[in-house]
Amino acid sequence: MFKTKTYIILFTFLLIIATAFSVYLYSADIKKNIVVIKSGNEIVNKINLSTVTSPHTFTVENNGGINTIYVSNNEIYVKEASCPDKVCVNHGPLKNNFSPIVCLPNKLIIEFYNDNNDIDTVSR
Amino acid sequence: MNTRKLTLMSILLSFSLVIYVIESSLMPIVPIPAVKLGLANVITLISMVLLGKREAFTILMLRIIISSIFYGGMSGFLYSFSGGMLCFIIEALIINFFSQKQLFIVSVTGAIFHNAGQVLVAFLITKTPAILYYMIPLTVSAIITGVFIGLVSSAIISHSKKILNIIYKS
Repeated sequence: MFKTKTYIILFTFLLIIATAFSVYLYSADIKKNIVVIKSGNEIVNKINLSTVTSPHTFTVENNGGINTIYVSNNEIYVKEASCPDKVCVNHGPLKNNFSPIVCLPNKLIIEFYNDNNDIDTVSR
Repeated sequence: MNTRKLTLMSILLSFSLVIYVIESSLMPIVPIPAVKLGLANVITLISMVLLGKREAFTILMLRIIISSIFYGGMSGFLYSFSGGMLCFIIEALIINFFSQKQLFIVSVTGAIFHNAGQVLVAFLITKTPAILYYMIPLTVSAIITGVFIGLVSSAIISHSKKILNIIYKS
């Protein structure tokens, strides 16, 4: 095939582009008021974060697992989860729809609500 | 299949299982989920070069089945299987084009396709298009870990070839 150098340049180029894109995706702070909690494709709960007066926690039981969700004014995160990997807990507060809070074992998704729930409408 | 080959295969399989167990019990390096070194892929690459594609496939399948019985469970099996299969197919297709020193190219390509397989399964399970964006940060990790895994594999292969020559001659 090609020389080794070609691949090194190609990979470096790809690495730089992908790093720049992922930094942008993760740091973008696109907060909205209404948050939806979904089980698979069904919307289980809809919360307007700007109307939450006192911080509180509640639990969602899903697919045999339990997630404890913390809600306060303008902030939502998963506090505890019954799943072994704790990806949703380590995710931290919900910032944008590029990185929604997802708990794959419990099939739980927490993201901001938009009309047709499509990522393209959020990005532009 | 002779006894020597069978023994070597089972040794490689137990190596990959031990590597898998140690790696999954380590703390994750970065807080992004699903990002890990994928050290078990070293064994896949080594067995592909030293033994052959069919033997490497057997080792990979057995590792996925055994590790999901004891560790991952059903959803773990789906992710390991889709990622592992896609990674293996692409590596088996392109490995003949590259020399032993160029193994890192094979392993980076394999790592990218491994992630693609897992993201695809996650998309099919959750039906959330946002998950597909996950490919971008995962590509960053795939390139870094893929280069590392490839360099480790070619180093191990060049040394184990000497050892295997001694064993086969005796």
